[in-house]
Amino acid sequence: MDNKPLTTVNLSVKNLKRNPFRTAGLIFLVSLFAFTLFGGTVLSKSLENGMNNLSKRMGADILAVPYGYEADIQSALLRGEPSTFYFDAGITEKVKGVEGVKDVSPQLYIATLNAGCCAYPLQLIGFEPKTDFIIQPWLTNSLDHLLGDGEIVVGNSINAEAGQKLKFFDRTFLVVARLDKTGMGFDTSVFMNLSTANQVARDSERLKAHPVAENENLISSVMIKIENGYDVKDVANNILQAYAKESVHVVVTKNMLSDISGNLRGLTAYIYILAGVLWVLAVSVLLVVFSVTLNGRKREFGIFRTLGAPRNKLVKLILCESSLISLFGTVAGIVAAALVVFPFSTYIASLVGLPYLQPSYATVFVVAAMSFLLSFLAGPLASAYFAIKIGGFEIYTVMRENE
Amino acid sequence: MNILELKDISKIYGSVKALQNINLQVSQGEWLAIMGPSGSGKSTMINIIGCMDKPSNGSVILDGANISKESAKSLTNVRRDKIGLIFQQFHMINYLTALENVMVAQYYHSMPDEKEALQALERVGLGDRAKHLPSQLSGGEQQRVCIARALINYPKLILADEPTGNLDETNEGIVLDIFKQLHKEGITIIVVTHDPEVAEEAQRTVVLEHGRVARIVPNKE
Repeated sequence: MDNKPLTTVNLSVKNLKRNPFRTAGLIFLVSLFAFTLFGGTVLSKSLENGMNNLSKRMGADILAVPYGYEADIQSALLRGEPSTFYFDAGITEKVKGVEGVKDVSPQLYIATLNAGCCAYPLQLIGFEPKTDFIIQPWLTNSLDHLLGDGEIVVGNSINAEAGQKLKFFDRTFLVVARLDKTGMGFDTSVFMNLSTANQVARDSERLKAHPVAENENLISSVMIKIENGYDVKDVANNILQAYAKESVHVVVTKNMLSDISGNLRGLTAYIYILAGVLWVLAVSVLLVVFSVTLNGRKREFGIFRTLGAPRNKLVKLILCESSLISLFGTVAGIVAAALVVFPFSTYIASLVGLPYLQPSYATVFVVAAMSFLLSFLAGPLASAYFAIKIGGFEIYTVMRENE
Repeated sequence: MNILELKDISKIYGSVKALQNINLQVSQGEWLAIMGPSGSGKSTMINIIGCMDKPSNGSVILDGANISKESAKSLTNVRRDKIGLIFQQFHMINYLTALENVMVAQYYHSMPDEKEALQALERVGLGDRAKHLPSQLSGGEQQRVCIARALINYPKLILADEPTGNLDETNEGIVLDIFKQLHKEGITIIVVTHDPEVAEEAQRTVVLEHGRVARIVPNKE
């Protein structure tokens, strides 16, 4: 004989196998909750992390952009969406002269079509290494020289390492450094000095006319840091008053970040509400299903009682069954969420359009443990009442029911 | 020596007197039949003798111990250790094999022993059906599994409620033959039945009417 020894767990497993569809349905329900809770919390934590990272390391207090392109600069910074908008490079020096402005650094955005490294168009960002205070603080390894012509720095999600070469519009560029994970559009951008960016614009002319190829004196934005003691709104107003007529508009990064925070709070609340609703739903459905099935199994429990099973063993049997359902559902849900959230984090980040930075392993572990606990409790909680009640029936009466 | 003694047993449900002043002694190794029409108190008597209920008045002495005032938990232990129950509807666990149905009684008693459970099935002629589920067994075979299950923990008393009520003549004969064999081995058997032919196999028949012992009829030896 190859029977497994009879134990409470084995008896529970045998009963669960007897009703495979009901068991699978209940497991699916719990897994749905675990999936939402774990996946949603990791998503929410990643967004929160991305947001914190962005506000901590943004660097610029004000962004000067051509009028009408305020939304585009956000897309470029947050999502790395290829953007092309330009104004005269002379704005950099003009803005520097405004009262309260401490540092300025221009950036030039050029969109590629397809590059050898990536299956999608990239944002190329030209910057001035001498004045830059935005890009270089993110470098994983410090450069021992200012970024030269033909040299590029890649965002963390670009598939290239220092020493490798990448080709844009048939010209080869040497990767000299890589950025830290930023959780924003910089992760999918490529950085170069302004003259290299101008060269790329000229190269792109072969495929399509490019304004920067026609006029090398164009930039896309000016990153502005203000002097200590000045109010950022006052400085932004000063810039607008002086240069609005030259189609210069300003974006105050603090305001931009608080808008993102607002969106993030809404999304997080939605995730937790959804998880809460699913939990209540899961427990309610389990409650109904356990109530119906356990009532239908009174005769079986009566047999166990006549064989000498004490009430506590029946309670144990029922809790074991519901715990097994919860266990399988919870593990399935968390594993499924992990298989979606981690490998597809870049895609998710681009979908939500907000800064996205995966939390540390320790945080993920804590989230997994909490999700496990809450999901796992659904089954035993739903069956507890009936488990306790079921031992109290009159054995002989339930045995003779339907006779 | 008496294995069971009922002294002035009464059971009252509200205003209904299900049993009134029942006095009965059952000797060790005796085969006793209980008969009576519906509502005569047979079920109540099985409940009390089988430790599934307590009398309102009177004493139940089982194997020398007064169990009439025991707690439900203690009665469960008494039932587990001293009584083997057999029912008309067989009452097998439908997701367990014949062998597992026997072993589950061992599990709740002490420890499952597959070899011993298999021997119990062989004793009722079902060694080759050990791996079959209840749905793959005939009614007679299911009842024989239940007899094996009732015997597995060496009870002092076999309490059978209409054990042949759902069986055809052939299977009734097989089950009664097993009971005869058990009786020969000295096991005490109490059978509740409507069937006079089944009752005649016992040494005595107790006839219940309106919750009272109407008469006790000695049968053939």
